[in-house]
Amino acid sequence: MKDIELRIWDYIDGLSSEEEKNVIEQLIKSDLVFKAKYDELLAINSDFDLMELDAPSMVFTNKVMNQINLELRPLSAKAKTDKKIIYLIAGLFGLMMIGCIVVIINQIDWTIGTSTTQHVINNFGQNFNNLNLIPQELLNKYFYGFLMFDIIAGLMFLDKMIRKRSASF
Amino acid sequence: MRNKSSDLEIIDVILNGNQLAYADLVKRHQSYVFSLAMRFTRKREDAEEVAQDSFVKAYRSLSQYKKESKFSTWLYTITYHTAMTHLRKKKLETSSLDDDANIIQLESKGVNDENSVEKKSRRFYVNKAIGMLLPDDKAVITLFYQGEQSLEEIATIMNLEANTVKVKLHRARHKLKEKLETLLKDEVKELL
Repeated sequence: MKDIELRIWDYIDGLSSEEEKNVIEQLIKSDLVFKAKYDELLAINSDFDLMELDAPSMVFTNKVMNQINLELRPLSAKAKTDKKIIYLIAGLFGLMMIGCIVVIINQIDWTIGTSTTQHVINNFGQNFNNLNLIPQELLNKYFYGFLMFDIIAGLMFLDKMIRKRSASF
Repeated sequence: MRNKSSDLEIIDVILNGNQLAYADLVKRHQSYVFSLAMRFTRKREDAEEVAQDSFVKAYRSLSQYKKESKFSTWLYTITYHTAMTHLRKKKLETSSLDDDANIIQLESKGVNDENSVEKKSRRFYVNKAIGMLLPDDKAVITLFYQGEQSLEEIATIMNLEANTVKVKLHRARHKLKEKLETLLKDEVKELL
């Protein structure tokens, strides 16, 4: 009987499949026990529709709004962030990258056939070392680290750009 | 009935800086939120507190509302969790259909207090029977019949599987039906 109830409730709630709907409609017409159960559950369903909503006090909206007035405004992310700031940060970052590339290119001795990267690093380090600010070894490590960071950042940016493009298609 | 796109339009207005537009959303949903809160607290004062907290929480998180679900579903999720937290905090005694003593107490209290017209109303008994269900059962029934939420939406609100909600709804309806029959039988006995 429980199974029948479940099937009838699904039918009443409009959750039955088209096939099941047809079967139940046939059963309601032909099976008196089934029809009695259907009528019973339908009557209960109508009773549930009689449920009343509770209403809060008349000043409820005012109470909420008074509390809301003390809160910070929930601005959207777009409204919160000024686009100019984003462009400024992006511009500075871009300039830094371009600057680095220009410095590296300037330091390359195109006539040397040995490892260019090593030469650039040595050259770059030597120039800085002339100022006696940072030890050569430390400078090499920092340079490698900085180069690695730039490569990773560049790859991430490229990946994001490709994903966006493929999503838009 | 409530217009989904209207809710979204109001939300956009609020997110663009018009705080006062939130009053429209509160007015539109307050009865549903309050009714849901009442299913957990029973006391009007507590329900108002829960409903008020829910609206304030919703306002604070409005910018995080992703508009993937209905605003009402999102709001009821906040209300449901606020009510559950409130229930845990206050350690309210909840009545169960299996708890006969509790039922008798509720029956004897309520029936004598109500006027005779309301006493005979079927609606009165339906509401009374709902009051005797467990909070989760009440919530499922309220969300399904009054909040007009689908099984999937109720599942989102209560953080359950849709199938579990279906079973819960069926069980709650069954209990409600039994309780209603008992209440109506008692009424007939009283009249005789």
